[in-house]
Amino acid sequence: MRRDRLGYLFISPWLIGFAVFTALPFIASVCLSFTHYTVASSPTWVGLANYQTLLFDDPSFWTAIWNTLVYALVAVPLGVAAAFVLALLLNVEVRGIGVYRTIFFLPHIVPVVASSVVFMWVLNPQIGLANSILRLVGIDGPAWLQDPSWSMTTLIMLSLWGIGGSVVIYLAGLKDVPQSLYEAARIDGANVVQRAIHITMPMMTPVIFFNLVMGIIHAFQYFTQAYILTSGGPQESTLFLALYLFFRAWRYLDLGYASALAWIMFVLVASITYGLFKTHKRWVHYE
Amino acid sequence: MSEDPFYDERSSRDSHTVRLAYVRLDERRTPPFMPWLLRGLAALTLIAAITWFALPAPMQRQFPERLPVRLWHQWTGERQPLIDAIVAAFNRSQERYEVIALAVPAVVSDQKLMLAIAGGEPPDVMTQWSPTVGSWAADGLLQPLEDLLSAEDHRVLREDGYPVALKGAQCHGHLYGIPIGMNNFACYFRPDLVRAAGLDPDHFPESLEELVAWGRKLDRVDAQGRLERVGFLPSRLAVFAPLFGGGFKERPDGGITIDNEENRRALTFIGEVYRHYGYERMIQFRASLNSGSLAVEWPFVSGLYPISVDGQWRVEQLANYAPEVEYRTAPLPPPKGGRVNAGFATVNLAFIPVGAKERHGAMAFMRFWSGLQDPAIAGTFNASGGWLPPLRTTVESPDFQAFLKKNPQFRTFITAVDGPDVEPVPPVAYQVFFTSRAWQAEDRVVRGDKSAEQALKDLEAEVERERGRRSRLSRPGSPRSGAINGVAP
Repeated sequence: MRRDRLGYLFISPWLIGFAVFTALPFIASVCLSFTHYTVASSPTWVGLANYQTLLFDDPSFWTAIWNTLVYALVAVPLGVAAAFVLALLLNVEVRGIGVYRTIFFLPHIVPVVASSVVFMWVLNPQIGLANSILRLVGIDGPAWLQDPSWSMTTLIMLSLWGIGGSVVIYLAGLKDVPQSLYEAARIDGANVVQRAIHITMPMMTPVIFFNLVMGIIHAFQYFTQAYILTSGGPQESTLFLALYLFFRAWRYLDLGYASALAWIMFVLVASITYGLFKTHKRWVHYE
Repeated sequence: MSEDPFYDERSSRDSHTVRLAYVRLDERRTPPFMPWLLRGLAALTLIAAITWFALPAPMQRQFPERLPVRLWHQWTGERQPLIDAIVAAFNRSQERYEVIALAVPAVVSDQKLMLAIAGGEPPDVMTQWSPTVGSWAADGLLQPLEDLLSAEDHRVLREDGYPVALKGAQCHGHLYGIPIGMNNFACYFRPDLVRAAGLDPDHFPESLEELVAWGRKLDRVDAQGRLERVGFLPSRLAVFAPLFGGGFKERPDGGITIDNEENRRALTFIGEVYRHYGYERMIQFRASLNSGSLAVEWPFVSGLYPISVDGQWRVEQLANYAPEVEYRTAPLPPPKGGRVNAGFATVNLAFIPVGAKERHGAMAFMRFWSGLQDPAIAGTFNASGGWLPPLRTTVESPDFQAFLKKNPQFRTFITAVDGPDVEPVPPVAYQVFFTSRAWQAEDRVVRGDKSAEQALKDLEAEVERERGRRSRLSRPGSPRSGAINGVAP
């Protein structure tokens, strides 16, 4: 009993922090979502009005939902696949592999704000590096961030910049695949591709699943790059849910409305994650 | 190198056995680990202590016996000393209050203010140059100021102030801010480039149509057909619409005049200029330009926009950072049959947030800065910052006249701002929402996504929807509904 109390005492800083900064705001946001609240005055109860407006009378909300889903459905699988392939390549024992791994991991630790500002210049349609290179091969590059038909694609491509973190997780997973399985497969005459498909892939599915779930959650929270590079534009083509929530809360001072938006976002993420967990028995293999 | 990329010889042993071995090894190492942990903690504590002492000490109050008046402003970097000078002058001028200034970058100042109000520790006075007073007042962030102003202050604001300064400071029947400056727009043009194009800089166009023709003669296109220079490119419907007899004004019912014939003509005019160049080409050209607020980033300086419609603050920037650039200013001409002396301006305001502790001290400082107390002193401040004063007597003050003598191009802005038809962004309850959406509507037109008619129709519908929502959510009679028209204090 005394041991238990001592344990709780040690973790109390975290427990207090969690209660004050996570649990309480979490519960408060439920209540706020049924109010009209502008910080300066006390919240006014409005019932389901915020949800009603969001769902039936706010085109920007549906634009934000669509953009977020597109991003989640394209950028996340793309990121998972790219990181996995990269991890396979970085798992090969060649001279200087540590250097290669470091190079691919470095972008992950570059602050997002700094890299976004750099990309703003790289993707400048007239004087940027990307279009200058394209011009060398006779292609007139697009207005990456200023053209609504390109802006989402550009942000999806930029999402690959920070996949170094996932690569490290895949690498750790690859190192954990029992070598005895490869040995057995080799004895049975399986070639490299067959071993990759029948051993590596199945054994890596728990890691892929983890990255997929985390990727979906992060996609729904996607904010910084869109805020810096496009601010939701042009023409709301990169208006994501988290960005719209921020604008509603801090630009239009509509914290009740923003809370309702946050809860819809939470329900969406929770539903998708639940859906993924429901399917995982079919394709995720545990040792 | 192993022939199998997935084969790692070193870990081919039974992994379970290996893990157990490591665990046992770790167990054996446990005793020597503690001293290392302690040493590590000691080192971290030492680093933290050194860092703590290296931090600058909290600012000491210069007059601790006086009542503190906390000011938040948005002038950072090289502009910050200008505000510090105003604060120092105020602190020297009396013995009751001490203004303590804090520069809060504009990008975060709104959020910081709201959090400070929620936390019960707002500043006593804050400045704002974005048009937000309508929204903030409606949302209960600002205090009305009538009771703090004397009858003489009211008279000076009404009779000596430029009409737009007062229009931009009041809403819902109350005065919520004291104007400390204004921003309006006129044409900047480069006589050297104009001459090179065979035009006479001494005869600036008297109509928008002529101005567009001038601009076309200044255009430059490279061998690949890309725009290198665009002579004249209209932007900001709020600036152009008054010249067509329109503009955004608050209606008696609390709405805004948006979808009318005059605004449609103005937006069509802007859209037509873009259509002429090709929407795609314009996107490329505009994206290649810096739109930064600094003079060095301004495409006018590099000659990419030989005729630019911009604010009066560029005069001072050009004098300081690009004195070699030959330039002139001229009022933005109306279209043929359009309205002269009509325009648009925004107002820099100082206001007292709700929950401020030292209201009287805040008002004393605002009176000092704005010129309500002494226009001559305000003239000195405005001259040092290159600001457009809200009071006519401040413009007439010796220091500001000396500034005008040194920067004669600034006079264009003073003339342009002085008229009954110069309008600010209507300070309605949904002002911030409207500003953001109006900009998007214009953007759709200059991209060729929508016609001017459709864009304005959609904008009006969107704004009305938001206004209706706010009205429904607000308590009956609350100014949040936006249904109350602003009247003069």
